[in-house]
Amino acid sequence: MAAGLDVGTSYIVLSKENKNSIVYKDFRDAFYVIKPTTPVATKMIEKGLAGKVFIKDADGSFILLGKDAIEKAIERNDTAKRPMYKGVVSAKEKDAKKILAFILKEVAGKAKEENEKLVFCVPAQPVDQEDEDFDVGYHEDVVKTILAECGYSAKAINEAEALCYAELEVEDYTGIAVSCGAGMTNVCVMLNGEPTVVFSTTKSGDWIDRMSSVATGEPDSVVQAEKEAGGFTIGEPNDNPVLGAVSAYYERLID
Amino acid sequence: MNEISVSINLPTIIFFSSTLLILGVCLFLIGYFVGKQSSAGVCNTVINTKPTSFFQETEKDKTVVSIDDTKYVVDIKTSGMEKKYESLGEINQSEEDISSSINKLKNMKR
Repeated sequence: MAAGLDVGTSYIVLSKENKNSIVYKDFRDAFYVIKPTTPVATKMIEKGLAGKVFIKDADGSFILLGKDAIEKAIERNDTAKRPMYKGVVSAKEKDAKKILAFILKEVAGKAKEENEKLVFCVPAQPVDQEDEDFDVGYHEDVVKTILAECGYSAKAINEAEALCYAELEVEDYTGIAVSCGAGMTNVCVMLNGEPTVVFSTTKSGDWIDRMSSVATGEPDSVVQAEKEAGGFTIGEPNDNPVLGAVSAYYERLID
Repeated sequence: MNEISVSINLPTIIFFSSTLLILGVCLFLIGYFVGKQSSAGVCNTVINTKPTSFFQETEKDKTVVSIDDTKYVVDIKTSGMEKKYESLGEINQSEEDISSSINKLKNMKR
């Protein structure tokens, strides 16, 4: 039995074949750290977090994961952190690797058999980023190492290429696939099942959130929540200033 | 002429000599520990490497080999994290049949 894993900036999705169906498990790729200052505060915070998805770190801090992290960040007028940034493991966050490892291990679980095959998505090298911090190879190694610990024999595939294989069956695997993620936009041009051009840009969903956040003065998490709730049409003015900014920046991204 | 006679008996001699001995041992031990503590910092800074040249400066700090874990994956530990929830993630099921698409792709790749 093989499995597929989309390690995205916003969501981590695992798919596994189950008889005649496919089972998907998805989890929001976000975290929010709460550091208690006193032992009394520790107890109170732990009580307050009952029912939420969180972990207690060795240093005594509480790390909320997934949707609960975003909700808590909004509650505190703050921004939730991400273990991934622009499609790869975040170099900005100190705990990124550790938290990504924890989430991946939980989502993928232990392999049912030794060296169970697993294919995971990686982004292409971006055309608009010549930063040394952006290292797809390093990101691939991190994910492979984590999955190997779970007993998987993991193999990487380009995100847009995977999309071509999933959607271009009728067109004999000839066409263009554009994957609009949170961190990146990946593009693959395929000809008869062979990827001919593969590239990415670092302007995508998070860029829209960031720019709208700067324009309106609201935290990124608030912009993201408003955007995902919908209620706007690209290119049309909106009464809500946040959604108006989101609509405008979507238009600019497409241009 | 008056004569002064001082009589010192054996138990008194033993008492004084043993007291002096204990005092001496105690002073030696105190001196030893104080000396050790105060010289600890000095000993660490002593350069043990032999100078290779008269003009060349003696190497004071040895370069320590370290692996940059932002460039090379070494070890990712999650053991210190304590799980505080029942289940994680949402599970959905889809009745998709991907066998035909896999077969088609297999035939094209041959």
